[in-house]
Amino acid sequence: MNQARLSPRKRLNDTLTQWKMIGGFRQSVADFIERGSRNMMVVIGSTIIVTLIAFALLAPVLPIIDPTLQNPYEEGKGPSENHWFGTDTLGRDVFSRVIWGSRISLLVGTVAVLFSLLIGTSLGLTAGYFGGKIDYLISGTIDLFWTFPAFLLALALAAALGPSLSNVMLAISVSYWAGFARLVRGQALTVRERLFVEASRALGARNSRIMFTHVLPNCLAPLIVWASIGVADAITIESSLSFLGVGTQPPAASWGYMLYRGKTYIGEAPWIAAFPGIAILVAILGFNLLGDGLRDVLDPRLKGLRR
Amino acid sequence: MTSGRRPILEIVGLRTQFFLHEGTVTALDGIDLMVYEKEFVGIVGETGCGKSMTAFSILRLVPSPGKITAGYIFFMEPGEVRQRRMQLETEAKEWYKGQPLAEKKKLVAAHEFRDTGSGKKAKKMTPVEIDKIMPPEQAPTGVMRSYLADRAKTIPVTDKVGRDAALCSYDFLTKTFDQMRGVRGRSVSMIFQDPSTALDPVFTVAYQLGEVISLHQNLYDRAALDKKIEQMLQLVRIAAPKNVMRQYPHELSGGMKQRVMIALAISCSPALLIADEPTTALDVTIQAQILNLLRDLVRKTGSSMMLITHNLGVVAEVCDRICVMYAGRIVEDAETFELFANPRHPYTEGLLAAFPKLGERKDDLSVIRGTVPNLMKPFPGCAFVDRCDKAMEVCRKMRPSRVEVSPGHFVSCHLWTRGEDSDVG
Repeated sequence: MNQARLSPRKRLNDTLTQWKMIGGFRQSVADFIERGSRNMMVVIGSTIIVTLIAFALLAPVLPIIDPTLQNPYEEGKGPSENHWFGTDTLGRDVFSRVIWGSRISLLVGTVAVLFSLLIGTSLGLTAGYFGGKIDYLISGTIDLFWTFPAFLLALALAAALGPSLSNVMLAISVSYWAGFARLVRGQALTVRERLFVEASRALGARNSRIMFTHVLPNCLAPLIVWASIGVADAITIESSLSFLGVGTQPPAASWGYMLYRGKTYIGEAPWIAAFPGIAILVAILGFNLLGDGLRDVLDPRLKGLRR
Repeated sequence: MTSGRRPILEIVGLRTQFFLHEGTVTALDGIDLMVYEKEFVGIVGETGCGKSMTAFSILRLVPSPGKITAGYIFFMEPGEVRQRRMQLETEAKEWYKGQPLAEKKKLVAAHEFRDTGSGKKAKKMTPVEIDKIMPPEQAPTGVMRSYLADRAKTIPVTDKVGRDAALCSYDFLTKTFDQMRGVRGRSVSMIFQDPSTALDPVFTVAYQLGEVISLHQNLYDRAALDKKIEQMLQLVRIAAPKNVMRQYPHELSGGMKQRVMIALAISCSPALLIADEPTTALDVTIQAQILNLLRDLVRKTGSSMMLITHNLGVVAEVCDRICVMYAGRIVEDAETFELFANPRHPYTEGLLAAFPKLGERKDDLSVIRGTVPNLMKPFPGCAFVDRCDKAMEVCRKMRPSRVEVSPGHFVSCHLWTRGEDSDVG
């Protein structure tokens, strides 16, 4: 309220001084960015991911060939000046398809993992923190999902819901959250027994506060690593689903689908499968590097270390 | 002496039990304890005698299978309410005494639950359990509470003092969990034994201090908060508060961490500070510093302190009064000087004898023979009987009552109660 009356310059100054404050959220953010930029893994990982995302977003405006355009005269040609990554069996440009495919693969990978992270973390944290009957119930559900192979469940769901991108994401999140939930639950079980939880309770903190500001941050390290691997997993599951016909529908391109289609011609035309494969590899590498780096950055005990 | 001072905390007959598959462990067995305004009370006893459990019971943070099954914890009760409550209690006791045995059993079955003061659904006692505790000469807490609650209905609403007294409004055990949360950290605060685990490793010192202060004082302006945090750290004599604020717990030494912990605990200037072995995890040179700091700070804020320790040297240095605990009971309670000069309970005597004196060379340190009794078996008599050199017949059969041997010096031992108790036993 008071700020509205101040001049813009004064407000900016205020904000700046606030950002330089010692405690609190803002300092943590500033600290985090500063430490993240010092960590090579974070820098490389985020560079890779940002580049990939940029390509994916800019796909419509990039001067590349239409990924669905078939050229009967150029079927199965190797990499050349016109087609950097060669062409596939229908004469479509692999480079353009890899770039357009990144839209689907990255979207599915991140959104599905975010969703399952959200479900898994909230359920796992509740179960691990409160224990007792709640834990029994949630653990039972986790085990139920866990015993069922994630891929099979995703396949069944995607098939039942009908093939579409959002259904694929939903199917992957539903089948994938159990892992996160179990991980967080295990972590929360150990963290809640630690003295600082008792101490903050003795200083009058409420359950929700302890859960989110003390237990969750202490569970974060393995969660981040698992999530970065999860992105890779989700991309793979998506490609498998597409291969089986319940995921991305042709002629749209996704990396996994291209990989599977190109597999047949790996002897004669290796570029058809190789380039989407490399793209998957690079994306996964990026996410894993970022995840590992983030874990180190977020762990205050490794603050001074240089990597 | 103590009579003129206002009691901050009054614990009456507090019993905390753990209900395990193997049986019931009575961790606290009828604790009576008073903490007066600006008083430093030391609680001494060996490992597992229930010192820490007393602290957790006061804050109502008894870990899971444990429950507070009897007693009262009055906190900051105004004098007039206290007086009125005492009257009502005597009235209730008289009334209970007048009832025939069958009626008593019925009353106990109706009102005495296995846990008082828990938010969860209370479990009614089985007849076997009732037979076990029958016939109690003293009225059980549940019966007393229900009588007082009934009595409260007859007191007009305008008589606030009377109603507060009858409804035990100042009793921690009648408070809801939300109310208790408001008490913790604000009115009663606690310092833990091991500072290295009591601080959250993933947050800076400033963040953790800021959390407590903003939580209890509704202070959210970052600049003001930072200033306050800096003051707190200066108060606990940290040399470079600005630097320490930015640091994480693992970057601090043990003594520093304990200072931060103390700053956390006193940040809202609580009326009562419970220090649970605050110096045990620290090395000896720091111990004295931390103790002096604690004493000075608590004196400055005018709070009371409850110091839990097994180190007699520590309590002798800091405390005004000492309670000696043994097997979940307070066996002796006296002013520090009085206790060291005239220990009356055989356990206290043994404890003092076992304490090596400086400059005196001994080949064998004296010990109290035997071990602590199994708390799972209820003992009808004195808990110390098996290890006591002066044990008598009566010690096995009857629990010694608490007597005042000299002003302000309470002992629970048959050596001192023999004359009074013989007619009852």
